[in-house]
Amino acid sequence: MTNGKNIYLPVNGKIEEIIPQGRDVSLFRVRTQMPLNYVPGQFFMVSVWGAGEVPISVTSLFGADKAVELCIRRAGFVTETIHSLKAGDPLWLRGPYGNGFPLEISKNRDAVVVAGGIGMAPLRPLIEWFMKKPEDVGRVTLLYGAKTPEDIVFRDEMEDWKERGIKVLLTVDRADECWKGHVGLVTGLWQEVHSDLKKATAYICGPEVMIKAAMGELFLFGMPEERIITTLEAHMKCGVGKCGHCYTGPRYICTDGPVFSYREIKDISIP
Amino acid sequence: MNAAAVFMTVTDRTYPDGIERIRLWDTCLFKGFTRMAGGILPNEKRMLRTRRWYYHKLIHYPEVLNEFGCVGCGRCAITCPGKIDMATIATEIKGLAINGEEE
Ligand SMILES: Cc1cc2nc3c(=O)[nH]c(=O)nc-3n(C[C@H](O)[C@H](O)[C@H](O)COP(=O)(O)OP(=O)(O)OC[C@H]3O[C@@H](n4cnc5c(N)ncnc54)[C@H](O)[C@@H]3O)c2cc1C
Ligand code: SF4
Ligand code: FES
Repeated sequence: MTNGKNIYLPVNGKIEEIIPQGRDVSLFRVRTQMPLNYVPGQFFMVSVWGAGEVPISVTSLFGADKAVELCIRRAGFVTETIHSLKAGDPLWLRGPYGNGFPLEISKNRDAVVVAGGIGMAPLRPLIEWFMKKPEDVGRVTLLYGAKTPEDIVFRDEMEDWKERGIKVLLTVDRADECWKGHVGLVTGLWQEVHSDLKKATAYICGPEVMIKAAMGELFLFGMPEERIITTLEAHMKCGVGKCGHCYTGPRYICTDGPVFSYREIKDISIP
Repeated sequence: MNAAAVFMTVTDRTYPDGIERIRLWDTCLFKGFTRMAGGILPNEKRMLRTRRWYYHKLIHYPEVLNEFGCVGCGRCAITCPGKIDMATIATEIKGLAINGEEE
């Protein structure tokens, strides 16, 4: 879905609003002239002219009159430049790319969503999807771990998620004085999930060590390999399967992924 | 599936009179090829990148595209000073080291 013949030509977007989400992370609401149709788990190549392009997941659920929402962490040159922009400034988008989360496999099943840090970004539209289609999914539990309470993104929305039936379990690596919740790894919360893990579906995103640990443990609990779903990260330059930068074993994360099941990647070293 | 990997990188260049976004040649044998945010280099070890070359040409391409990625032109064999070119390695793996046979 790029405009015209050149696949590298981005479309022009305009930043409508920037909402800070804890330390180093902001939500960018970007409006394009034509709505861009996308599904949870897909990503855009987002760019600032002169600075460069970076892959960023969609963090909103598609709506015809809705702006694209991108949750971006300050991580280096391009993301730092994006953070220096203001509402009204242009941001260029190319995409959406990638396969997206398989939603049908959680039909009539409980879903366990496991997020670490900024890994919440691609999982937020999934939560929104489950809230929109409660009849299509069983009980939904979100396990979310962040470094400190300050690093929790979409914290203000989580009350609403709880009210709408999502069980939200938060944990932090380091607590502050006000924190009353769990402290420790997100994988320490399995016993709080009141779903039969053998029958449920898991969607995982976060740092590589966390993904590996969560996938391995869920598999040991008896969850079938094809229902343990994750989304992977790699260096990307083209986003369309041409440049090879995002290779992971025989696969390209940009076109074969970024969403994979444990079955597809267990034999490949990530990244 | 994936098209053949035309290894290139997309980058922006700023000039006094404007900006251009261009493609440049790149290769998976450079350690920066897979560089991630914050300077993480998943394939920093030269061995990993060399292994990627053999795997990509001889195993991954056939798996994904049903064709070898190596066309057998022999240019790496002529150029390589260390005898780790594609044919030597492939035959060695097959247990038929060319060097051994010649001696
Ligand atoms: C599928 C996918 C989804 C993602 N989703 C999100 C998301 O939702 N939110 C999020 O915050 N992150 C996301 N990321 C991670 C994000 O893409 C990286 O944090 C980002 O690429 C970092 O870019 P950077 O330029 O800021 O970092 P850097 O570490 O500075 O650089 C990254 C790349 O930019 C190039 N570069 C660095 N400096 C320069 C320079 N001076 N001039 C030219 N080029 C330079 C380098 O070649 C390097 O390869 C996602 C990644 C993937 C693969
Ligand atoms: S013989 Fe060597 S140079 Fe020629 S295609 Fe194969 S790997 Fe490349
Ligand atoms: S980013 Fe170029 S092949 Fe995946």
